[in-house]
Amino acid sequence: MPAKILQNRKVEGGAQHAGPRNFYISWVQAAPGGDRHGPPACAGLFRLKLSALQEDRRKRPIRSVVTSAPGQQQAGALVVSGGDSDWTDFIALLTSSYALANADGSGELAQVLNLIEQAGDGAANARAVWAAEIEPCFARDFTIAGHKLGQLHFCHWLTEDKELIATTPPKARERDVYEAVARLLEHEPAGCGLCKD
Amino acid sequence: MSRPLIFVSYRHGPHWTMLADALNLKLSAIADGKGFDVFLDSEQIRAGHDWKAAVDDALARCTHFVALLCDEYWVKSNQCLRELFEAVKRFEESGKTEPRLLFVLAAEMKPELLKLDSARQRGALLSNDPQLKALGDINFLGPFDNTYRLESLAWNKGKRLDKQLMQLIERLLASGGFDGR
Repeated sequence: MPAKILQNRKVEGGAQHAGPRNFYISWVQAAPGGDRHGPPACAGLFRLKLSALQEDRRKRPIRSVVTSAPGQQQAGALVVSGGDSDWTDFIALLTSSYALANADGSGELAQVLNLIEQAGDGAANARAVWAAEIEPCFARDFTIAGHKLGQLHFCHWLTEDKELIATTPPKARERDVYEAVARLLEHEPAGCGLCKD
Repeated sequence: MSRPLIFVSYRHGPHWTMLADALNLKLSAIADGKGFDVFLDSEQIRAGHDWKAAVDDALARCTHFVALLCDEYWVKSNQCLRELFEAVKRFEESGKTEPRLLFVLAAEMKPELLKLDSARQRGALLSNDPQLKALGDINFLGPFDNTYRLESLAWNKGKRLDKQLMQLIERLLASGGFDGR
């Protein structure tokens, strides 16, 4: 079953997990030519809004909210893929720079996809991966850990076809992140066609 | 069969380098997904490498030549003109098949006034079948505004520039020469 998650082009988890939720917000600093301010601002806003909540809609407590440290992925210091990591929800803030940082398989999302692929049933079901585009980019054409993102069924594609623009004025950015957080908390795995099977 | 190679030709300078970097970033992020390579001199040429040889090799192999046009590109840079003329030469010698010449309006200018006559007279361009009289003869990739009028890249407006770059890349991918297009 877990090995089939990616074979089925499906990235999901959390369906059978009833414990606390620990969010990990993954972002990278912009490469030359990218927006330097948007990603850290967006990550900070996600952290702020999630940290302010006690529990999700299913009464699962929200225990911790962590973000990547600036430059962490470029430095190769990852905290999400180790056996002692207890994140339940991994949120990838997708930009072109993010794709490049993950292209060689050493980035956080690349390692998370590998982790899900290798994990046992329980671990896979305890973890959810969410994707959010935070700048205009061709995220579905990104290739990460050998997988084209557009061919994976993220049931947790936070932005769907709508861009979540980190570079928008702060008020619009805040509204967009708020909507994304609401979707994070409202998602009901038992009722989701992609999570159920 | 080798992958399509996109050569990004631009005038070095704060604004133009930033635009080239931004275009290169968005292209590089999907290069593997779409199956192509990108050549940008600052990215592909490392210290100690033969810079001219690397550029010449890329010019000889590129399938898509994308030039970020501005007046400085035309007037102040021999290197830009050398790249442009090499691409035009290959284009004309191949019977207008390769490389695809794709221009981007990087700043307000009049491309139809940038004529190739003097380059042909002094031998910088030699062709038995000259196809181009002026840069305005080439279809521009863009960017285009909502009324489909050519506009220049908004180098100082991040969000608008992002949208323009997305439009350019969509048009570039639709120009042909990529798998499945």
